[in-house]
Amino acid sequence: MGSSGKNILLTGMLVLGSAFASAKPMVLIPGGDYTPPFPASGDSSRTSTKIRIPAFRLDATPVTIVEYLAFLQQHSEWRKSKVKRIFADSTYLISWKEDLKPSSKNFSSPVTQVSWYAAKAYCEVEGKRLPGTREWERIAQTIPGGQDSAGYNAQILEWYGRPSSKDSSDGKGSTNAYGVHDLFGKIWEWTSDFNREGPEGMISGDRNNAFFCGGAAGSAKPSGVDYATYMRFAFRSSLKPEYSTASLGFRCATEASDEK
Amino acid sequence: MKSEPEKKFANKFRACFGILLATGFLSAHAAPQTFPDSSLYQLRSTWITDAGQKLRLADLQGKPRLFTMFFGSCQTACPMVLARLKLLESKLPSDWEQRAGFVLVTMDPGRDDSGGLAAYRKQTDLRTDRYTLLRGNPEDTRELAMLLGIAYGPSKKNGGIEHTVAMILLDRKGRIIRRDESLEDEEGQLKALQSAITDAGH
Repeated sequence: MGSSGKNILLTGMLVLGSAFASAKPMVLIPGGDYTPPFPASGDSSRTSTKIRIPAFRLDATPVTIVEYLAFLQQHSEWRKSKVKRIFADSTYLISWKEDLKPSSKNFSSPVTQVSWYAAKAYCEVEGKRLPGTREWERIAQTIPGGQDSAGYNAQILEWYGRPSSKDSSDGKGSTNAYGVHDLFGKIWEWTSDFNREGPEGMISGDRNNAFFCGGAAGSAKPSGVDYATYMRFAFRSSLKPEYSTASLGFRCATEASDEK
Repeated sequence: MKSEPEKKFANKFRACFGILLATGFLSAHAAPQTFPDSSLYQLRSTWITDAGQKLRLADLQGKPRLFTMFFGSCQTACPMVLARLKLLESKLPSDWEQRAGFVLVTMDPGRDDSGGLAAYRKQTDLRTDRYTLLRGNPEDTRELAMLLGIAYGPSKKNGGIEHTVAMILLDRKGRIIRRDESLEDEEGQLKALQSAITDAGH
């Protein structure tokens, strides 16, 4: 009796979840220039050139637990008991009590403990894709109106410096200039090409070494690169696609070709 | 309300019945998709060959395959990798294509369409029974690259693509058995390939 009542409740949540998922608001990010924080390899000038990022659309908020639950309901191969190790390490949804039972009571929190492969699969089901690192960074570089860049960066750094902030999942997040919520302050996010990280053009060879060379050289940190950006690239370079860590979630993007 | 022993029995019965069901299911469905947990052939993505045919990676099972990623307009690394593949080819028994294969996946699916891949095959003289040329959508391409340990992205300097240079040998069930990130160990690579071919013989 008690258990069937729970089931009904759960089903209700899942239906709600699907409804949410299909109606998830997206924000149009207009095309614009992005300056990668690191110069190309072999570029002695140590200055980065601007790159044009075409318009795209981005989920206004990170994918939530209830949305992810709805996905698991439909795609059982991504449940924690069934997922293949090659696609997600042993910490995948580790805090979930069961396949379809998240530990958190706050179902509108961003889902974390999901691997890159899982995030990619989720977005695909939604008819979307993961945002590229350059797309993500382009909007991260946009300072909200009324704030100077120093203050903004200090605020981001303050969050990066905090230990895991589980309690920030109650909706008091940040909103950036495009209306993108919670880019900072709650979780780190997967990007489609997180592994072509750091100083662009330093992909081949020992990537970590290349990255930290960049760091040590600079004094070497090209001027204009704030430390928060630097930390993001460092964090990304430490990831492997099967990692499912507690601070890492995602949101999805789509092309904006149908938009003006 | 069931008594405790009754419940236990019911659970046991359910468990047995479940196993029966599962067994029936497996035998009925001939288990074409039961790859080892570390197999890349578990990927469900669909790929297109240069002949315009659809392919799933699972279709490549049964033979060891040497994978690499490339793109048609690649000027430096890819020709060197291709030269290596041809060198390996020349050192294998003349009928090796019956027991192994090379797979080239484009990391530039935007520019390398099936026609482009077909032109590449012709231009570089790749036998269809030895080389499989594949193109996927950008997301699936990235996913396969992640599994192969290949990073890539547009280069800022010349409009090309910067990428990890790697050749990855998969066994006949799609598990990685060797990675070469340089062209240094030709002999080791050849030996690994030969032994994979021998292993695949039974």
